[in-house]
Amino acid sequence: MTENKKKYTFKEAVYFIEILRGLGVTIKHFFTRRKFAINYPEEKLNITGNTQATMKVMDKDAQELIDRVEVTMNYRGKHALLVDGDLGRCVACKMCETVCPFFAIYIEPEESPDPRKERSPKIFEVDLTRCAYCGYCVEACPENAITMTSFYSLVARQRPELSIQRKELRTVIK
Amino acid sequence: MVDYITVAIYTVMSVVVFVLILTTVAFLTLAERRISAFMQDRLGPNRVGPWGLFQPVADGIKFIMKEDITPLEANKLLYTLAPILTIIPAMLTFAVVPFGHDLFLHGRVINLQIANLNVGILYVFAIASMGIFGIIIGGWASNNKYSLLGGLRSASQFISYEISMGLAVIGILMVYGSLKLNDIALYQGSLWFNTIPKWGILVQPLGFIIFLVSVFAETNRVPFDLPEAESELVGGYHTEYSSMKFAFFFMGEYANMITASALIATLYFGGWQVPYLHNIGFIIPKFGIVHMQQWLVAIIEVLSFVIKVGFFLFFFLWVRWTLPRFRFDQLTALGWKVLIPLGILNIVITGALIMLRII
Amino acid sequence: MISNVLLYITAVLLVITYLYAVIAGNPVYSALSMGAAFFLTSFLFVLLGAPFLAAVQVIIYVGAMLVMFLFIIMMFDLNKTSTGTVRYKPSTIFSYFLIMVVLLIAFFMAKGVLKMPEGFTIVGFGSAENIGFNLMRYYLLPFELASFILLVGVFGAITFIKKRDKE
Repeated sequence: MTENKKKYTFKEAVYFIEILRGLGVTIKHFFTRRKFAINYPEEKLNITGNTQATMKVMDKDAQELIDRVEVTMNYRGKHALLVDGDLGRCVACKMCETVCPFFAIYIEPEESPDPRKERSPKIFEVDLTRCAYCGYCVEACPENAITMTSFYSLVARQRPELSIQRKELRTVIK
Repeated sequence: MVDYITVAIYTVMSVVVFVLILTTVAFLTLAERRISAFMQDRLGPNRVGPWGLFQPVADGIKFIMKEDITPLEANKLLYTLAPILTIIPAMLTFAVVPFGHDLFLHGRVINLQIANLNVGILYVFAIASMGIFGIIIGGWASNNKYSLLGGLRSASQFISYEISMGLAVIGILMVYGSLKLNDIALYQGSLWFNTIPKWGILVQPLGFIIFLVSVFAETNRVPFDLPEAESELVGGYHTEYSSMKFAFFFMGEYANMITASALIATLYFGGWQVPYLHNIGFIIPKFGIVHMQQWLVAIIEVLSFVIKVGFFLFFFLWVRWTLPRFRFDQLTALGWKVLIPLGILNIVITGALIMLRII
Repeated sequence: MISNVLLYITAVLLVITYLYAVIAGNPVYSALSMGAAFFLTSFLFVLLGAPFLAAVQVIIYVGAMLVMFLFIIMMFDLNKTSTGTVRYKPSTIFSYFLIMVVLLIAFFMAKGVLKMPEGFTIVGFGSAENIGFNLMRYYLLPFELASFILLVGVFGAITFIKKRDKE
């Protein structure tokens, strides 16, 4: 024990002076505190700030998506189904439904009323209580139709409220 | 012949002081959380009411609504008695702390102090020594090993540090020559070399440090909070307590802090004294007298007392969020090997200075 | 009048608490009962006009000794060994009784000597100033001797511990 004992300088041995220094540090923080915490519902974290549009879904519409839909490179929040003008991109190929590890997506296809594509989803349902926000659906989508926004405030009073339908997922980009 | 008006005045005063202590305790819990948050660059509870000011009310309601659990194997009688034994002495101690100069109203002398006992400071020690029983009994009666360890630590810590605290106070008693806290506060208004007020911190700097450290240990505050060391003992002596019983322990701790702050202010910082302020107004040597009304003087004095106590309450919190906890052997070593010899040294030095008529 | 009534109530409670301290099976109860008794004794001192003694009684007996007792009791966890009340052997009770009789006789013999004259009062009797004055002026030698005996006791205790350490 004794041979390992650290040699203290007089200042450290008295301890009292070091205490005063410590008190100085805390009081400095008390008066000039940096802001790390945010008052959540009133202030919101700006997630959309840090994007380098390389994600394939963003391609040509990257900047517009960032501005309007809050799609980010890094953040995976609530899903969105993109719509080009009046035409939905989704062709109900069920790739996302198949790849989803949590069976959170349910798609019921129908014949598209629009002649520009063959199929469109009649029901496109994402159960957000099951979703783990892994982003596999976005990777799998051949049409770049499904994407994830930075919308993270997923609060509901009942479970069905977190199962979102196609209409709520639609996002117009042009 | 009993003077009923005087009795009524003191009764009202004690009720007011009691309510004020309880209110301060409530807001101290909030202050602790917010100040700690500010020191750690956080925000703290700020949701309930403006600046979170109603948080204590919410906490109180929560404590009342919670289920009051008594462990099956606990000693029911002592388990219930312990919180009561903690909070009553914590409240009683404040009775002898003066918070203003005597008032003269229509031929009556009103002490701004609930009870001007002639054993003053000894009363504080006596009642404080009762306060420890709540913790020891609570720790034992819970029938929980962590609680028991907390109680045991509390007992040994209390015995160790009460001695050094007493030794520090002896220095003060030698200088001011009275056990009454009001007299001690009064004498601190007298001037040294006709210029500097004889505050305890100036007359007894070493004694002040010993007293301060001992008081931190007596109130079980960081860095001496071993009886309730969260990281070692779960919750220490109040591990098993819930609901209002826990709240009583909590309130007892904070009430003890208030009393400790008041004692530090009274013994070492002139209590209600404002430098050069006397009954008739400011008397500044070589400059003259500024006359003031009695009530104005009283208000200034009470205000100065409140500010001093408030500062030391802040100091308690400030230290808590600065220092890490002592190890138990370090704690006892500090008490017995450092503070007690220093206390005796302080007494010897004080005696010599008194003999030389310097103090 | 009121102080007389309080005096008798205190005396009765004192006897009960001390008795319970002796017969209680649970050592913690015993110690706490003794604490109550110490406290009542200090109240007795207050009634007799000796606040200094009262305060010192509480500080030393309740604040230091009893905490020490409780510390030891809890340390060794004696509460598991016994419950209910302690049963003493008749011979033990008889010897206690004998001691009590001797003490009572001594008390009655000394009563005449100890009795204060009627209307006998000292200004500030029992106050800290008075006690300090008398202790330092007239009883300095016994006071210092007592402190010396305590010092010897401390040395004794330390010697015992040192001896055990060597073994």
